[in-house]
Amino acid sequence: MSRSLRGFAVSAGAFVALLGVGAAFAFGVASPFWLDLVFWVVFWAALAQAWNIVGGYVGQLSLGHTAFFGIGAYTSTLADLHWDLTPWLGSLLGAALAAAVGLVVAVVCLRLRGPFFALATLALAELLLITAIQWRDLTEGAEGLTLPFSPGLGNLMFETKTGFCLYALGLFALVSAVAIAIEHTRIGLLLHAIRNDEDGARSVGVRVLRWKVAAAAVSAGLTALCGTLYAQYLQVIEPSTVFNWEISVQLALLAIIGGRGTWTGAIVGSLFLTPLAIGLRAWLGSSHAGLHLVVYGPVLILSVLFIPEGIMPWVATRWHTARARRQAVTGAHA
Amino acid sequence: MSGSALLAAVGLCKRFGGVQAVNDVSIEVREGEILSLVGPNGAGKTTLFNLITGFIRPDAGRVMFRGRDVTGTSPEKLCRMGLVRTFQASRVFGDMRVDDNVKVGAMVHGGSAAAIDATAQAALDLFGTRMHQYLDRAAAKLSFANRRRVEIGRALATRPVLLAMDEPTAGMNPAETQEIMGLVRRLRDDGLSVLIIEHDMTLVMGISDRVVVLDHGEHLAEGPPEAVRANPAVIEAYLGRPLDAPQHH
Repeated sequence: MSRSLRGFAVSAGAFVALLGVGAAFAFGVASPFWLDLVFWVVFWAALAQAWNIVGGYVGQLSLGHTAFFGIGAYTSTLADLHWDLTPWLGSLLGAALAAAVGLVVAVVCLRLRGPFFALATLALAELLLITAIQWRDLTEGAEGLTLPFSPGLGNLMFETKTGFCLYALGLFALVSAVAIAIEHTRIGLLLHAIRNDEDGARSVGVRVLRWKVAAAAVSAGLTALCGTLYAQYLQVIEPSTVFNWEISVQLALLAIIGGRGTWTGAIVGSLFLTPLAIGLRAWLGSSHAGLHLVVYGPVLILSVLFIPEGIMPWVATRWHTARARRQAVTGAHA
Repeated sequence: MSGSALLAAVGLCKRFGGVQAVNDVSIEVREGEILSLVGPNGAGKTTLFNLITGFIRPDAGRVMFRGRDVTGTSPEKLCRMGLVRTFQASRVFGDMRVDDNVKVGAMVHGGSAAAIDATAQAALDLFGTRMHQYLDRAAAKLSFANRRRVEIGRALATRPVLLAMDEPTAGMNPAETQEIMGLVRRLRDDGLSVLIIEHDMTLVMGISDRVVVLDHGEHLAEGPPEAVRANPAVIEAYLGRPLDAPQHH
């Protein structure tokens, strides 16, 4: 079997196994607290994976992905409230809108090198936050919007947290499938080349701008789908919670600490950091407000300090080194 | 041996702030020839090279390639038209495998995975078997000379008609330099046209069909290597004026 085919088989196998474990948790866990944790781990993994497509695979740092997230949350919710449109379609509408916005920002900013894309996405998120607060006729302003609770598959709303966990898992599967497809086709090589050296890539005919813009649009669209998931789960959205810079930062952190540009990185990042954040908040947040951040912050700093390339690439390097050494030893004895 | 003009730069000018890096320079690369662009450091060679390969736009002048006006055309499009370049400071994809580096070049014209693999393989085989042991190695981990080989292989995998090389032997030892020059000559004999930038004129004397000399951003001399080397203006540009020679204005 060729190298690429074997790599794909390994990825696909790990992916299916992961979904199985996720589903087992969704069905097997009874406690609402733990189900809630499962939901958020999967939710953040899906979001970090969506960010990873532009932030990881093509290496264009975005610090404003909450803009696309909020567009998704507001579009599906408004479409549901005003037009009675099912969130199945509402989320697609939000994704299309976010992708279009992402495309425009990318076309304008990604011609330039340097921090312009990061700054422009940051500014876009602030702009949308202010718009959502001020445009009261549409958004009800700072009070936010409330979705009536009417469970049903057609409504993408569920009686139990198990249902929502499966919804999150489905979305995570979709986003990860896109990431895996990128990683194991020639698109992955092209994006990797762009991330390594744009001029080098252009010199051998890679249409750098086109790929960067496409990655930004796809990433924005998938992020918007996660915005709808959030709105469906909480049934309340406010400008300050969905256009929230902390979301933008959290996404980037999960993907960076897990390992940018690897589909497993976003998952490991979320598995590691989401329970930590939620656990710390549950443990310390009620007694000493803000103390959980005092612990969370240094963990992030230490991770980036000691494993700057991210957990998964760090593990992969050590694994390959160990295997090469084993092979060298076996070879010497043969 | 050499035919009609494959690439023609006409009256190119480029200014950076107060520096006129390239001033009204015209050069022509003919089909099947090795043209060397030489000149002392700071003569404007790399700027001219970047103008020709689409990495920067000229303030004035035109670039024609295969009979079409390609002034301001992007490098990626030029590569698809058959003009590919290599860089002075090696620009390999550092954390990608050597074979994947070259495959990115081979992908430019599409085709099946097997065809891309074969093109990449053939490009690396131009260096004999020496690269075979490094195929799965990250390009950044290779020696300087091997990174340069990867870059040249990657460029050739795009199947160019004109290969433009910016100081391909900079930092290489004499044996490696001879190997690269030998490869360039073989490629020319197989029909490829080559444009080489080099500041050390003696290096390209043996292989160049023609030489163009730049100095202070201007076209100083042009012709067969021996004639250019004997040109007093060229000697002066490289060595400076003898102390006892009369000053002329």
